[in-house]
Amino acid sequence: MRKWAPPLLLAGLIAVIALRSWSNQNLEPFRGQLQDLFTLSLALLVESLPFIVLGISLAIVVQVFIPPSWLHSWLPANPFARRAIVSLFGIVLPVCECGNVPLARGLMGRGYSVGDSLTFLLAAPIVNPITIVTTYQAFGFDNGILVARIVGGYVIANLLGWLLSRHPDPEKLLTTRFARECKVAPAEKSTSKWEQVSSLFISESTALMPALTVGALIAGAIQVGVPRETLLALGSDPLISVLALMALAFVISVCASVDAFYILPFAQTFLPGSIVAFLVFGPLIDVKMVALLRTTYTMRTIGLLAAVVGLASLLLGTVMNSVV
Amino acid sequence: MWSNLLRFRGAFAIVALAVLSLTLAFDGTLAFYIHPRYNIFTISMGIIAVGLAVVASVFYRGEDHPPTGKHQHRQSTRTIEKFSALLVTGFVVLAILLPPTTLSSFTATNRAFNEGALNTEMQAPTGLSREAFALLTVRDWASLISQNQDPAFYRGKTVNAVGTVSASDERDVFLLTRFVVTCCAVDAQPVSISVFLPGWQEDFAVDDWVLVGGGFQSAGLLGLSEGLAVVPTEIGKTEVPREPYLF
Repeated sequence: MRKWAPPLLLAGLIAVIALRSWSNQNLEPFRGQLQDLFTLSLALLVESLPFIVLGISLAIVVQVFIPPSWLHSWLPANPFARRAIVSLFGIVLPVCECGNVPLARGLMGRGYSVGDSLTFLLAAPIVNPITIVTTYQAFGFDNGILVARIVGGYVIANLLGWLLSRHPDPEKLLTTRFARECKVAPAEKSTSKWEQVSSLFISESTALMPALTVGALIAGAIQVGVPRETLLALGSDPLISVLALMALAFVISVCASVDAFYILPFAQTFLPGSIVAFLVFGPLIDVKMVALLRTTYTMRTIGLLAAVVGLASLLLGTVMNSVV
Repeated sequence: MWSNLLRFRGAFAIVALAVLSLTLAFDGTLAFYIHPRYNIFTISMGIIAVGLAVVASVFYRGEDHPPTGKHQHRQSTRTIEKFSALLVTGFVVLAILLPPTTLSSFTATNRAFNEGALNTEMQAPTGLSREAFALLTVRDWASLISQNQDPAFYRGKTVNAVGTVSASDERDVFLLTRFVVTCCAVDAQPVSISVFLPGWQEDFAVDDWVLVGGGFQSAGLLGLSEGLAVVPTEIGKTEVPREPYLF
């Protein structure tokens, strides 16, 4: 990079700190709807940012510091067995769902198939040990919510991985830009490890941050615009309550590792199947995730993903409501 | 200039938001947005983001392979990129400039009061002294009231709670409100108790932070429609608490 870049970065950092200090002392926040939209969007960004940074860091480690042969050598050749193992990566990589997006991109950059990477992406937030512990803390083994969440999420992820693996031209499931980036991996372009790290940091942050910002703004706007009680008035119907909580999960975009605590107070109003549908659907498909997925997959792929995850969650929730 | 802004818009956003998170943590206002259990993680990742940016500022060489493809597709992609760069820049600048603030009564009203965040297993500290009740938060009181509306139970027990002012359906009553947060402000659930204070609008504005001290009386005695309300013996504006949400 040019010689002026480091001093410019330093000047930028000092400017941000100085502006924050000045505005704290001299400006007043405005109140009301617009401010709440801004506060909600910023909260979503501040909460997601560390996971994005962790995800980018892990993607860098996977692409720059781990040899490609190592990533493939110990995985089974059988596609079902391979996806079954890939979908358990979340146990050792406990990153929230937004952090999994750069990691899934990194895995594809290292030659993983679209189906394999998506299986990881969908299963990881649910088999994440933090998610399991918080779901257990919230619900214990009551009504089979914990088991249904883990098994349901795992099966849905593998189902989607299998579906996508049958696509005759998997590259068409990806955006043109990302498919091109996979072909020209940064590791091949650069010479030193630090140049590869830099290149990946710039390309991943440029791909993800605008999407995350737009997703956070849309999620904030929906939260401000749609009264919560409109969704929650539907709690006792076995089918509609499932749809209502899936809609709520889509709108609030809360992290998988804590969504069990969020939904716990609603357990008295809503049937157990509806709670499970919320816990399975939310980590996979929400406003923020759709915006992030858009950086990598075509809208057609995301539509298919949303339809399959939505129908499977609906089926799981409705069956549970009928049985439990 | 444009091409540089477009190319580095993500890195710019990630570093600016990381530094913003660090300054919020330094100010003690990170709790306006996220649960405090994430503070160390957020600070650590913020430092790593700045570190990665420093590395990139020294070693990044630029794209070796310029994008290829149909001209029209490139045009529309560039328009989207410009729009997203503007949006991200605008948002980040606003985030830096606007002082941190909590959610307002607009969101409290938009979400149902006392619907999801009450502690249904809340036990009244009956065995303790009456002073113990003065330590209860708005959420604790709202949880107790949801289980027991017998005015006799609350007789002689002192409320000493902090919250914001939200308007209620009754003219002489405002709702002393707090948000309960599980993860971040996005999942905030409002809890409230009623405060009976005729003419409160003259002294307080909606969203003011107030400290209310007093005791409960039944709605019937106060000429209200239902429930219990605090009749304040002392009330005044107060500073925003260090942790404005209840966790």
